[in-house]
Amino acid sequence: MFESLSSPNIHTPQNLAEYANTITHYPQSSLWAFGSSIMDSENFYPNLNANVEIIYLGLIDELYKFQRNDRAVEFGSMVNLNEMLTSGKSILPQVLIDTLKSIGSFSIRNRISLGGAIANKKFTSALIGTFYILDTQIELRYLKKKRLHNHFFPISKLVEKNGELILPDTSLISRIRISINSYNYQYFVTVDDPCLATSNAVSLAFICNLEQISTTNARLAITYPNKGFFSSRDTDMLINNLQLPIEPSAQTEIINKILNQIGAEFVLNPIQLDRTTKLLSSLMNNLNYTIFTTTHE
Amino acid sequence: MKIECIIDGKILSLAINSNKPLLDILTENIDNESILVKCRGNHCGNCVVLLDGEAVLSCLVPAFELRSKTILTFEGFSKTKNYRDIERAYNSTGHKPCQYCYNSKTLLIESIVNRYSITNTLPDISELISEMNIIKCNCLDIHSFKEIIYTTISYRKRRNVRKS
Repeated sequence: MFESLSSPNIHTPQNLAEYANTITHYPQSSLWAFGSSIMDSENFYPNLNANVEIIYLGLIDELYKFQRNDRAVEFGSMVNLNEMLTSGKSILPQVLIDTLKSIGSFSIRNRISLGGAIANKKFTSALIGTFYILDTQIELRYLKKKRLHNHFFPISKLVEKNGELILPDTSLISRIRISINSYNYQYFVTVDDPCLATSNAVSLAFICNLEQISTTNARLAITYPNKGFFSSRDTDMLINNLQLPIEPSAQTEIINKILNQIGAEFVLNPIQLDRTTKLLSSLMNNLNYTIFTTTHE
Repeated sequence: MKIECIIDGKILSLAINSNKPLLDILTENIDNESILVKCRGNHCGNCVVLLDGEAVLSCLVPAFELRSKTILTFEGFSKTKNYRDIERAYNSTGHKPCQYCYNSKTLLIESIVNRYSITNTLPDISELISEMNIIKCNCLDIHSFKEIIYTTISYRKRRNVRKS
């Protein structure tokens, strides 16, 4: 019906050298992994003002690589979430596996690339919060003085104070390095679908080491898809060295303090606020339950 | 843009806009009548097709990704033996999707059955719930959906054993 419209030029580099060549010639191009979140925008097709250059990353072999050593696992950014789940099943931290499983269904995860899930501008994926607490590093390839440079950045360097991920223009996420640290308590829970209910969904990721009856190295991230994610040292301090079990009055006090800290950065709607309270409360109850079962074994 | 792909077993060479969604290609260029909706990426789920054997929402697949891929729509799938297994499972369980989502749910069931008939495992209920959420039609409850899938897998395995 709209065949008379000019259609975007599609560049299909077969390797990173070809990609470098293409991006230096067309620095304003859109990078395309699986494109699900681009295609569901209302005016994607037909669109008179569509970006005229698209670089399709699906044929670059280097972006599908998977490597591991004693300290870390590296995934190429075009690896889809199912492949990541199957190849990393025995190595990846449980909190990350739970996060991956919470995203869509098998068929949907097949069409979500790791790089796309991170760089998506429409909403913040729960993956970013989980990556943040796991000290994940992202390799970026970016243009500088007409040359393509690459560098690993810790994810904490790429997020703004409000939890929004900032990637330099014309940069490509090529690899993700996840460190394999062993935490003996990992917890992930999500409410609602972050892709479809972006304004109400909330997810919480938490890791710590339980030593006897206290928590150490605790890290918490709460993701609001329409706003960003919340994680701060002050919050981590609050839940670090907690003596378990946590009494109900202490629980309320901690939750209120965390909510105040979140309130300083985000304006949450009543549903998100209520869900955050309940997720924090369920985390504390789960901590109590875990310590109860381990001490009574 | 010129794209060559296989749709329902036919090798086609199409001259189309590079960003045209597969859904529009099927309805406008190929006159496929098995897809009834055009939600334009609103995740209604009624445009499921099999892309290289995996269920995808055709409104989210652009034309340029179709190069040398195999697409199977309900129109082509309904002529296969695999469809007979699903049809038999509908009849024996007494559960059937409504007319509105019949095509999409059947293709979704086929992709799940394909995945599990190779291995000796069965999908768990949580996975089926998330799979079922792709299609926003509540004509089947999760237990009926599970029953259909388990029955189809058993039919498929029996047929494969006979074949070998």
